[in-house]
Amino acid sequence: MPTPTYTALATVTLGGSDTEIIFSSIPQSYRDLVVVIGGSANAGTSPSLRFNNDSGSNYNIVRMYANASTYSSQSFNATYGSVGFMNTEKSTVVAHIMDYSATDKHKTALGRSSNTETLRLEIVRWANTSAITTLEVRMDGGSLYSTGTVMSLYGIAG
Amino acid sequence: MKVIQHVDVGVGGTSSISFTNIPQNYTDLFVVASLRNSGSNAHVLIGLNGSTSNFTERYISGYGSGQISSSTYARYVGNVGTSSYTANTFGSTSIYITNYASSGYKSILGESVGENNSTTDWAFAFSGNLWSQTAAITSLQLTNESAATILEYSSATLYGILKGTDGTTTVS
Repeated sequence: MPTPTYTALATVTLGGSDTEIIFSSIPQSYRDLVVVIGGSANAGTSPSLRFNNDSGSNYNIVRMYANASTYSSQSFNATYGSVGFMNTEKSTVVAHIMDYSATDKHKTALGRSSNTETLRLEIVRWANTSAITTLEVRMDGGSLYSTGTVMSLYGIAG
Repeated sequence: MKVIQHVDVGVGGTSSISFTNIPQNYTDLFVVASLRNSGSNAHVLIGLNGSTSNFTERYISGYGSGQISSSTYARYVGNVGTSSYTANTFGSTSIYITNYASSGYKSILGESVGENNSTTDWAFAFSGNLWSQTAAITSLQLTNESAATILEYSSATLYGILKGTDGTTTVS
């Protein structure tokens, strides 16, 4: 069975006052990037990606989600790319960014998240062909990551 | 990511796949499983430290042209191939557990697909479980609903994922 290799690039354990984390100087030597968040937030919100400080409306998102007994999907355009949902309960968010160092394609990310309120599957397309060198993981609406939340960035060799 | 343990199910099958004595020096756990069972129920269940209680779940599944979501299940982490599935097909399941050695509650993300030519059997499942226990995870069990036998040629691999830094990437 093939084994993707997760090489740790950076990790931060949060102290409860952060609404955004920025990974910079990301090496260009991997095929994909993976962001993993294990923890909670001070309110229900969406951890979202912003690449290379691009705050334009260049992020296209399609999402499927399920609550207790309902489910739905939606698509929209935003100034960042949502990759999951977190709230005050313990949550897991895994966002996989494909071909982040390529310069001939728009970048896509697959986000999956779970907690006791909402499941989400999301796809983000960043309408830009630049290689990703800076990755911001921000909470939508200014919510905060809770104390003890662990966020890690991994590289996967191609 | 490093392999902690791999299990191949042998002749006669087994009632469960269990990973024990899980080392506590990783950050997250990741399980990849290829499963088929002898019964008619496709759900694969997770147990932690031998516990089957204190699980809260959200679940969504798509099959043929139908969908379902629910919070009434517990411990479902995916689907396996069943006795009614196309011969020689096995369901694929992945499970991600963050901060498994911490003293907080444990969050579990499950994804799976069980391919079948029929349009009426489960095909895709996505789940989130919260295990409301503070104990570090030292063992992990996979079973089938209705206690069906996990068949020969099924397999499961437990990986450990370790956080850290490469000395180049910066965080602010």
